[in-house]
Amino acid sequence: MLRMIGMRLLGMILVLLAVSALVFALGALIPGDLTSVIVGQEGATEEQFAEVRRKLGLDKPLFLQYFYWLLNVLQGDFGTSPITGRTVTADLLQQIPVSLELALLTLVVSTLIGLPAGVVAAVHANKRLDVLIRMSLLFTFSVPIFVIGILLLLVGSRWAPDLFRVSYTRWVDDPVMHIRSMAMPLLTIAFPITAMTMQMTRSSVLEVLHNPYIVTARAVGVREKRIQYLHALRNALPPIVTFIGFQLGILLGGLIVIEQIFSLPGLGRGMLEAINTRDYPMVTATTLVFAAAFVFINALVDMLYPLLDPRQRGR
Amino acid sequence: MTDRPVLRVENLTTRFETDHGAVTAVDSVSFEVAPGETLGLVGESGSGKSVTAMSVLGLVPKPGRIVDGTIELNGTSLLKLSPEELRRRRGTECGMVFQNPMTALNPSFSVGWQMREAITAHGASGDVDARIHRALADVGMPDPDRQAASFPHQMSGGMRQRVVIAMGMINDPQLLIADEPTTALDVTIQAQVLNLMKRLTRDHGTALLLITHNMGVVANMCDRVAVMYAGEIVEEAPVDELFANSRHPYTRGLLRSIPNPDRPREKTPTLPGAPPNMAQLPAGCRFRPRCVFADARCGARPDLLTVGARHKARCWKTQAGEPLTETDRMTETLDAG
Repeated sequence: MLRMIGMRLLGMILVLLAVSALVFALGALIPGDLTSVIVGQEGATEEQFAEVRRKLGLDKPLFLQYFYWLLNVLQGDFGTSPITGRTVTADLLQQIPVSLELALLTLVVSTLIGLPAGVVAAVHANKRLDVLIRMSLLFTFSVPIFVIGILLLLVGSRWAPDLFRVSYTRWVDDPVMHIRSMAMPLLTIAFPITAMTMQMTRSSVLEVLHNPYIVTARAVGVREKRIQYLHALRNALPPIVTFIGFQLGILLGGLIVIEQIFSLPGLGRGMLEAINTRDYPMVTATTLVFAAAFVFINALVDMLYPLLDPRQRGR
Repeated sequence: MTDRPVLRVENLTTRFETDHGAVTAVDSVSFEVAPGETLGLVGESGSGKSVTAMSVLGLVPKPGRIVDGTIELNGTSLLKLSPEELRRRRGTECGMVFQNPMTALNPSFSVGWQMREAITAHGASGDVDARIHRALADVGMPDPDRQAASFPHQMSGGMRQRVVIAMGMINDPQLLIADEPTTALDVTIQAQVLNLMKRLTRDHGTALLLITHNMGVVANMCDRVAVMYAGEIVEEAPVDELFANSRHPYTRGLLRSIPNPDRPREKTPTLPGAPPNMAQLPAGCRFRPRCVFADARCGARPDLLTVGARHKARCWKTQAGEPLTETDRMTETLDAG
């Protein structure tokens, strides 16, 4: 078990190293560089360019640049944004909690609704209740989240402006306002994720319900609800958990859209702004954080497997 | 009380509504199991014996449905009960042992946890751990406490079947239904498991409904036998009577096809033909297409009637008192087989 975790951690570090190299190389490959942002496009002399370049270390070979950048990153220093003048790390520390909160809330809400809905759908497979649940969730799943988001924003701000016309407020400043500012983004992104969780739960539970051990449980008189939500769901979990981990990746992408629509100062919005303003240090930093989150989630799911399935535990 | 059968099944008819039409897997089946008695239910695969067993506890898989008949367990008519009332009788009045121990236990939970479920599902309190310990020791598991903590995948097939039997018996039911309990096991383990069931049912005074296709198992285990063919019981008799004096051509065929160590394997007679398609049953006697004795009478459907002491058969010929001794024709098929 410990050995497995060690191997996973090593693998994670290697993957992150590769990702960091890739992210850095992408930044270097894009035409133009930081100097043009700092010095400006026109009116600067060659000498000024060279001067700035030398100061930033951009005249050195690429692998050396990467090495220095990596050393700094490992110390938590992603550089300073030429646009805002603030350190990238300071910005990240502001943005990550916002995105993390939204992602975790979405995960909790979608799982709390999606799992039971999936079990109900599986138990009533192809009957009216199942079709109803699946139709309604399929609808929300088919509509892109930016459409759902804008619709909710439009309808919500007309019917209950006090509830929805809120700008982002931090929890420490005003908890009530904070909840109100997070409600709409959460609602928007939770719809499709819930639909996917429910669909996955349905098919996984449906498969498990055909197993002879379910009949055994019935034959000894276990209550039907207990069979569905404990005996069956427990066995259906491994593929569902894998899928939820995979969904989190989709969720990260969704954050970029959601934070843009609802003006949340999160990581996704920060990334988009950085791309628009060619804020190179910020772009590489946000990309790296997203990649790290993805790698971490996958490793976590892998390590959950032995917990979920006794057959994968060591003897 | 003593005279009342533990299980009385009358005119049980279970039907599957499929896309290819309705299939009556169990057709007007009637039998009784007396307290402490072992009744063998014998037949080929598809004869309806398993569906009969599943019907008793209301566990027929969809799209199957009991469409007619009566099932009385300890004098209570099960088909009139609510699902909750039926659930409370499962495991307490009637236990069940399944064919494949490799899939009959939940892989995600420990053996002890699953046995605890079987007890607490019926609201039992008290020392549950002690009961689990005793039940596992009773089925001959060494070190019951350690076994209770293990998961099914850590056990052999024989061990798992012992667990399934222990689970079926844990609430001390009056009836145990065992559906091909040894078919999936190694031959060396089969005898052990059968002897275990024999000892347990005798010690606890439990009646046993044993479903099998193996005539050897029947001879070893049963007091009485009911032979099923194409959804019907075709013959029913005490086990000695059936082996000595079977009164249905199908039973004859089954008994003749038991492999005999004194005879080369390829000389073992087989029943020619195959069981009928259950969606398109032949008119009249269902065994007629495979029967060497068939004649004009067999165009009409025979009933299951008494042909001797405690002996019933569904055959026009034996009901008319004629012997099944056309040895020349039997020998013919024997050679062909």
